[in-house]
Amino acid sequence: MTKQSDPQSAPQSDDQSSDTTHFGFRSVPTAEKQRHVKGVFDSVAERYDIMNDVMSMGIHRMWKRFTVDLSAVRAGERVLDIAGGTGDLGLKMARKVGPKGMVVLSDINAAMLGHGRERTIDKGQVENVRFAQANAEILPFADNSFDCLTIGFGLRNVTDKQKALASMYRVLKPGGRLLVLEFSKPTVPGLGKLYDEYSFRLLPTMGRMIANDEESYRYLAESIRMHPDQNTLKGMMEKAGFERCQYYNLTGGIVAVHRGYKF
Amino acid sequence: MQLPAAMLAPLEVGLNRYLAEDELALGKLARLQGKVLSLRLRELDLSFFLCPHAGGVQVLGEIDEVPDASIETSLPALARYLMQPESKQTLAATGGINIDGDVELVQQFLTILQETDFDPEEWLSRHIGDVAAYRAGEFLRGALDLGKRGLDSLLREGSRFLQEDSRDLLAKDEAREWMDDVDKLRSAVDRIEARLDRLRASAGYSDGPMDGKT
Repeated sequence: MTKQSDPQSAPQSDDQSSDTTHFGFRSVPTAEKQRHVKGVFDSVAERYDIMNDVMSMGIHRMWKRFTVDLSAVRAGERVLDIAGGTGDLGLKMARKVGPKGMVVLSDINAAMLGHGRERTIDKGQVENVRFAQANAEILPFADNSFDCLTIGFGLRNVTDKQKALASMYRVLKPGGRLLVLEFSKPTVPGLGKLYDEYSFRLLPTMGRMIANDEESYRYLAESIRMHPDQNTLKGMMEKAGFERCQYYNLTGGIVAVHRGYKF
Repeated sequence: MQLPAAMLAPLEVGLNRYLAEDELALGKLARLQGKVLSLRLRELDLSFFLCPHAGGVQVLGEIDEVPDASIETSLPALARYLMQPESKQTLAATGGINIDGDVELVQQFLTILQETDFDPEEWLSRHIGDVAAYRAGEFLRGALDLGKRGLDSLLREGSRFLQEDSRDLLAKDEAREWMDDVDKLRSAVDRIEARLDRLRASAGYSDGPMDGKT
């Protein structure tokens, strides 16, 4: 059973209570969110890349390039790309770490991971990429395993974000860094209204026309509004143990890249 | 002046791309991990923080920690120091670089940059245009806010920006001072000319003043 919640009064933090959490603007039992999110991504997986291009007018490529640049990933490093989906970030990282390094592309959703795997093979980037179906809240890796972690447009779909950040901190090596690329809160005056119109009117229509799935894209727009704003997410990263946390607003704050270190 | 994080990011990315090619330098930077240096470039009126770590240097606009050392310098002075490693000059003997705090840390950090042949002028030159654009944008934003208060106010802000911030125009007081100086100079030239005429007359020259003949 679900109920509607007011996005304006909704908390910026992760969960309303231990029993319920948000799924877009709706409140759902915490135990069920994962299943709902799975439904969305099972539905959009096949057309995920083309929808990203249409929705962002191609700007998502620049956001991802910026994230990779900011990660300063070097040859020989081990990278974990969480919620790596179809492999956009992971493949860019794989080219950076080279044959002596390794990228683990992980996603909780088998359909998305399957597409990522096919794409990796198509691109011929197979020697240094591994795949893992994993829940970000309980990453199945040893402590201090990776030099760099990335999660691009994935954190807002995680049920317990604080738990996920703690799990990320655990698997990161001392000296390593986490980069979170995610939709955020527009900071340019006047942009918010325009963005709302785009998200709640145009986005679901595009979802219907391109992916034949209006509801899933409505969820994407709603989940963006329910995601913690820049400073809240920075605070959550610090709470998880990350240091020197910092965020970079891109495209007027529509998207932000957060970075934190484990020292 | 502090730049927003999104503008400091290209500076950081550029610096780290440079450092990434030198494993030795990265190893030395790793030993400085946890330290914070503040850098102020006088002529650009730019301040930021530099935090060395194993992967390079983090460039931040603000930080909660107190810096271990502060460097205040001009870009040419910094470039001169970094580009002449063979001189082995110590920082204390270097003109134009003022240091507060842990001098040893600054010496270590700058030595690492020296050894990679890092050129700070080249590094920053690619972004000077962005900085200028940002400043102009900040001015414009302020001016647009003021637009509600009328054109006079906008023009006043515009002239203040050109006079005080960009220094493209003279301030009113400076202009008046300059005009006074021009008047004084003109009077002085008139007096000298009159004196020369008198000297010529007393020496028996009959030619008119300043005709070039002797």
